[in-house]
Amino acid sequence: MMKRLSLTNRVKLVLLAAAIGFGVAAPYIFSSFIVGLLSLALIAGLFAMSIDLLAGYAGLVTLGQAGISATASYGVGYMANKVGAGIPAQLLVGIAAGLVASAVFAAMAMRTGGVAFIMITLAQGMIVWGLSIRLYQITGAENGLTGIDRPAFVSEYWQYYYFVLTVVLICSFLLFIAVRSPFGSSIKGIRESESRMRMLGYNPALQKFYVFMVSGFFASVAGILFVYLNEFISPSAAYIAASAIGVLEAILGGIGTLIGPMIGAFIIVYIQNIVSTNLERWPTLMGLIFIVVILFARQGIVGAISSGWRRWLESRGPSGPGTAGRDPSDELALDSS
Amino acid sequence: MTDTLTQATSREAIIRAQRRKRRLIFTAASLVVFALLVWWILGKMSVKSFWLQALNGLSFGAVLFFLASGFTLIFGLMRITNLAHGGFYLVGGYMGFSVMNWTGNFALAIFGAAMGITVVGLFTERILLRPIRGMEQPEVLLTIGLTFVLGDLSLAVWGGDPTPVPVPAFLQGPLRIGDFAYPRYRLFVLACAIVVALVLFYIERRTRLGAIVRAGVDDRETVAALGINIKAVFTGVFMFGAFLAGFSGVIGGGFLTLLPGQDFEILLFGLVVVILGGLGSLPGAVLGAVLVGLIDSFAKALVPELSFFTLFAPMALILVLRPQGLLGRE
Amino acid sequence: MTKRLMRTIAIVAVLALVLVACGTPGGDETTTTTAASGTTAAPTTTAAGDTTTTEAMMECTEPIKLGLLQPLTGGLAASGGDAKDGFELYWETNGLTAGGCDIEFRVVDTAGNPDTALQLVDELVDNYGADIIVGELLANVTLALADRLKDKDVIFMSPIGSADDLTQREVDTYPNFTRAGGWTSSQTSHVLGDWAYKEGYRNVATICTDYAFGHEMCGGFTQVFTEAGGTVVPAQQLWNPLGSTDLGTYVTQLDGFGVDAVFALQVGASVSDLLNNWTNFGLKDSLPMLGGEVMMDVSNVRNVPAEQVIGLISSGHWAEGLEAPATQDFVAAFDGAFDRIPSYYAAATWTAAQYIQESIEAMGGDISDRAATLDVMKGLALDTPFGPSVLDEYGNPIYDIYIRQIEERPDGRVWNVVIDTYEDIDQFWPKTAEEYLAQPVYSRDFQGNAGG
Repeated sequence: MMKRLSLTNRVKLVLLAAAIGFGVAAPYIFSSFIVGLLSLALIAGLFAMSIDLLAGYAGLVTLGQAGISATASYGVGYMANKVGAGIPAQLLVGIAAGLVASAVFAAMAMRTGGVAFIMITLAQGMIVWGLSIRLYQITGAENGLTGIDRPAFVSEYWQYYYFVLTVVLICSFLLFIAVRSPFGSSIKGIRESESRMRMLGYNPALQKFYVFMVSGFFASVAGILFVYLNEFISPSAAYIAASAIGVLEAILGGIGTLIGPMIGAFIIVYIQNIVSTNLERWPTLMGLIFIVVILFARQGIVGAISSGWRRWLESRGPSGPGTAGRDPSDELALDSS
Repeated sequence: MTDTLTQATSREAIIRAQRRKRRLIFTAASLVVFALLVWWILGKMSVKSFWLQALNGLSFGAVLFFLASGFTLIFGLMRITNLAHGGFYLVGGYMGFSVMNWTGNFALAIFGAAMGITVVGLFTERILLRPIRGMEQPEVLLTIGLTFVLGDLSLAVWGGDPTPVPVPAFLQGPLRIGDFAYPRYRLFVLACAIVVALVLFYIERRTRLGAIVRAGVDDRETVAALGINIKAVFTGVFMFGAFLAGFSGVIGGGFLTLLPGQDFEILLFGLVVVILGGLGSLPGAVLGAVLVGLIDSFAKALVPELSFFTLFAPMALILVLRPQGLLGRE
Repeated sequence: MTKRLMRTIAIVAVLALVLVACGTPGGDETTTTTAASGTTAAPTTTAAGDTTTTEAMMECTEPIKLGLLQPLTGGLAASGGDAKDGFELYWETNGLTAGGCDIEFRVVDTAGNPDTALQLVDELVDNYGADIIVGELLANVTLALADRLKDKDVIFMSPIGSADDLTQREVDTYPNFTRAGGWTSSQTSHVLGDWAYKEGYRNVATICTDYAFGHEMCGGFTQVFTEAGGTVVPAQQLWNPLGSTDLGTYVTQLDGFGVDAVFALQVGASVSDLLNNWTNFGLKDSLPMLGGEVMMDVSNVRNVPAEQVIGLISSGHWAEGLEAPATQDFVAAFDGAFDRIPSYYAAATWTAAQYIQESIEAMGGDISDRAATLDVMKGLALDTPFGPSVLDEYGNPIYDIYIRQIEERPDGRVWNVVIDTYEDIDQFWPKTAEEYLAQPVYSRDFQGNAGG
């Protein structure tokens, strides 16, 4: 199979390699604070990618993803703080809790779509938040849970950074495969036309359930990585702002592109942590970014770059190898509901 | 040919009859459950307490009704889920607080603030939402971004202190009838809700404007084809919904203190109301508001730790059993 | 795969190996110097608008650095803003220098979010090189910070966040922590329990917010009141969830209990909610309300109609109407600068700053020995806006606690004046430390109710 890669794909691969290289080199260049932020950005990127799976590929925008990731975080935290269990038990309970939450949410929402889906997931996320404030025996309520120590082999900030980098790369790869698999195609089919999928023999509600579970799995992984990063969890992790910011990161970067949400996450984390020390009105800035992106750049950054690149390619005309014209492996950004 | 037509109409008739039967069973079942609940509650509190808590719930529900009615109107006609409604509520309340402090005139505060929010609504609909009309999800997401902006700007302007809206002296204090004492203001809110509900029903059912709106909900293109400026109707409805939200902010602010973050909180209650009652249905907004208010009040009195659940459990139930809401369209 | 691609991958792999051979990173764990690496975007000056000291450097080679974490946005923005203003005003009034050294500080916004706070404090300690961290406002954020900072080479002070155990049962876990300028939640409500009994109340109901702070406040009152001989029926202790929107329901219930008085502790918007309903249901003149300190704090009652609060009684370590020079000077300065009467949040950070300046002065400008500095701090006896203040051996202040009543000033604003004083009250009063620490921390289940 000596298939020649198109120019687009080669460029993408080089960029990816450069990004990974940069990621590997980061701890040598930056301070511990910045590396900590990079870990956070990677985790946020994974979280946003899980949202993208639902929003960009299945066309289901969720405003409750933070409820799922927080449930996974609390699973870990509860086992560590209240039960005193070892790491394997913590991880097991964390993932299990996240999957159970995903299943419950999915069951409630799978028969709906569009705006109803948004509202239901919003309420679901807020329910998790409300529970985490009230069930103080389990969650420590407002005080949260401390004492969630990392495994010894990643206790240093840079060790944990590499761990996060590895896990996120693996998850991204899995997501990449998932959206290109037949499963991924059926999900995209749901977004395009449910009635058509039904005629093809699919059960749209069931498909939605599956994609919700897959998305919830990756959100849970993000939640677990997060709780070990700060060694702390509290109710604010489940609040609607956390979910909304995840959606913002996905849209800003580019819905339906998978890499877009990661880029969006880096930008938002930068704003939240570095700009906010100087800018008191950063929630306004966030809201404005939201509005501007939705109005003028709905494809997001990656979508805009993709279109620009494609236009440049086409303007070059069919001259020589490497300009394979329209590249079917490019993901079209989501433009409408 | 007539055969298939008869077949079709009789099939329709059968479906409609089935639906009616289902609705009857559902209504009967809910009434039974309701009666049982009341009987159980009376076992736990005195009759006087029962009525007091009922009034508490209804007055809280009244504020939710103002909020939900605007929300459901906008959704019903334009299919826009305006999540910035919570932000409208909060900013409206703050505006009312300021006007009240400047002029001391409560009526002016209410209508001034509501008009202020109407302007915000105009701006939102014409400038922000127009470019993305018809795209449900971007619309919703934009309104969330707008809520962030509104919330933070109101923090910048009014500060973060808890801010109750001052009410005129004749509405303060309790109304005493024998042994029974109840805040005058909450009775006022309740009265307002009844009046507003009646007005809204009248407009919707009996005026030409209401007919246009109802027609527009059913079939936008035909209404436009009839020569009616559907775009103006849309803008008008959005502005009216915003008016109601601002109105609810001032009225609510009189007994529910305004604070940053309350935009999302009240939005959440509003969402539960419309999900219970049915998106797009005005009677649904009334029913939903009454239910949510009563549930909230009695749950706080009887099972305060579970008061959060008792609000969301019915919502979850409705979503599973009857996703269009109690009074929503099939 | 093209040959070019293989080559690229090979180059990247080699580079990676080279980096690994360079050794592991992580050499810049704790920095108390200002060596920020060139790629950080965080500036090292104070937040926009604040003055860093630009005076000529004295014997110290570098300034002493302070970090203040407060919620400046979100629901607690008003209180956080007060805390920030109090801190900044102290340094403006007293100068950013002590013991011959310059002082600089940075204020950061946690938005009331523990995760944000943890991120920010990492930056302050590892990047900015803060020597002393002051914060936060919420007990939960304070606990998270204490946990994060316990192994770091900094001093952590919490003049507001009042999670009791930090200076009680968990005091050894946090050796670098002190509550100079602060308090424990139950410290002030103990006193009110005693006073209530002496006033003749025998039967009291409570309404406190259902979280740690509310549990501790109510517990403090209930234990002292019932052990003096009063009665608090557990079923008449109402706990409303944090952030409750409509308290009318609870007020209706309290009315029906038939008690002599009600002890109330609410936070945020719920304070004015409760006060509003209290008046409108007609209870203000018929059922006495005894407030936990935060309930009647001026930051919460500023915007409430005066008729709803005048005459209400509470206890507290802060009384803005206290006729002592340190208090009135501070109130006048704050009012002059910000056009409002300072709340306890402002007084707390002012006092913390006072402790910092005095300690640095006593250490001669060198506070690199944290343990020694803390010992010195604990040995100081200062005249603060709260009144006289001495730290106990657990790091918590011993104060005069005041029974306060809200009064209307000639200029129309309301504030708390003192109607009775309990002197030298520590966090355990009226018990000894041993007795107190033998019992569990106050919670929903343990309210110290002598009636059982």
